[in-house]
Amino acid sequence: MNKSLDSIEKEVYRIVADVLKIDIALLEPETDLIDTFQADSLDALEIVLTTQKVFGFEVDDSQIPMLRTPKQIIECIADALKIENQHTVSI
Amino acid sequence: MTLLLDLVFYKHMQKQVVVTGLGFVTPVGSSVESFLTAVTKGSSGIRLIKSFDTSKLRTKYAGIVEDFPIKDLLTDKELSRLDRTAQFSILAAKLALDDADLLKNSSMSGSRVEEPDSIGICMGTGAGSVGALEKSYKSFFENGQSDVFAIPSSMHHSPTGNVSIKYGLHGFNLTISTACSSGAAAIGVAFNEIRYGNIKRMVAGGVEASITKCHLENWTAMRVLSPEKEEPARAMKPFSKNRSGFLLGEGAALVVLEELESALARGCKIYGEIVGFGSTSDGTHIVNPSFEGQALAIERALKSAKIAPEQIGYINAHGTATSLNDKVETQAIKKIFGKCQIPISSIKPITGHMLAASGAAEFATAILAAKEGLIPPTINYEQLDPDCDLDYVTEGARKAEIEYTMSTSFGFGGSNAVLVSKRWN
Repeated sequence: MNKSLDSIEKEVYRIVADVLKIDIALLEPETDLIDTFQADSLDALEIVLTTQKVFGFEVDDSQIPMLRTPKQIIECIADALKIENQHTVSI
Repeated sequence: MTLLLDLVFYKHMQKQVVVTGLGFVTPVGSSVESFLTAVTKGSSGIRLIKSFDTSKLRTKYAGIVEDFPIKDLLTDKELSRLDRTAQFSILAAKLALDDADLLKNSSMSGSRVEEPDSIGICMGTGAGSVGALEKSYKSFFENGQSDVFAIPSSMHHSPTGNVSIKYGLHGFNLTISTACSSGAAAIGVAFNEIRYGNIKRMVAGGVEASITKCHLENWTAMRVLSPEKEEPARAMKPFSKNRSGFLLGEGAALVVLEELESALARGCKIYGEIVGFGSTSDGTHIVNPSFEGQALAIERALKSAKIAPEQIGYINAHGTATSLNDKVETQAIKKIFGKCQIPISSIKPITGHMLAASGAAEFATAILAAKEGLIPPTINYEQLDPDCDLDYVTEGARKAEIEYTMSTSFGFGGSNAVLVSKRWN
């Protein structure tokens, strides 16, 4: 299946909104999920676990505390899947 | 000599402990008024189980909590991560703390207690958050899926922990699991914490929400549940020879216990005084009760209350409507009270056996009976059992002037907990 950065972005937004039980329209790339939506360590883990399942990769535990915004999560996935400059990738 | 002085001093240090708040989430309502009306009128909360298919099950009925107003108290995120046990507890705690006038900014979502270090929580649960546990096991064994929220939501301590977080109770935090006596034991432990001067106030009681298909079938396998289908509200017949077992119930019952000086200083209402707690272990069999163990718990509760058996005016019995319980409990009562004429009743046919929540709800019932001067009846009684020959208040609610009441709770594993309360004048 081919996934573009756009589709990853949409999927990440959906996962974050679902885990935090918020309206997806409230999410911006730079939204700090901890400051804005009081996300806690369990929320962060749930978001990471779900993204791992959906995209088929593994996030190093040390990276988890750094994933505070949708943009950071998307970049982490793109990096893991080796997507550069919005190229399409096969996953 | 030093030891003697210590003992005298210790006795004088004992605080009087009163009940200043009640919170119910039960099959017969979530207010003190609705609960009291149901138990005195004998209106049953037994209903058909609708949360799963019971068409092929031997027992299809239980005491079910319907439409409890929890959505106003929790966000969607919180709701999705809290088992029914924690939800019941959060609502019952809100009702009890509000009743005791201990919440500031008492909005539905953001209430906190004043003086958080002075108030703690001690709750009992028998089965724990079994609904969340079953859900996580199903997901894991069927799909290999683990869940970040499974452990925090399914542990026995989840209800207690979540109530303390919700209302900011920083003084004490303990969960007790002694099967069906858990709620009464939790109240007893909380009582002692205040009585011996360790803390000023405690939220205490029990919760249970274990009406899942798996749990129900496991109870059925033990052949203790009534298979009654024609008249489910009449299924439970405590102390009656034609009994057929009990029905499960669910709910939460919490009380606010408070040092008398604190309650008087606040000028709040007082439902009654808790004066004694007795606890023993049968040490004989995992499910069969022992009348010696139960009798010793009754004796210890009386000693703790510093009263004689004849001063008790009403006993709210464990009364589960199993032949073994009814017979053994009657034997235990007779061992301590003789062939007495103390009125005894069981409200379990009304609520179902709410396990840990029952012990707490029944303690509250005894407090209310003394306050109102009205003893709730044992409903559904039909046939005299020669082994159960005491006064079970079978004719309907009975008016009575009661000073001291007793509430008995006995659990699998041989854990006995007996509470004594006194009318507040």
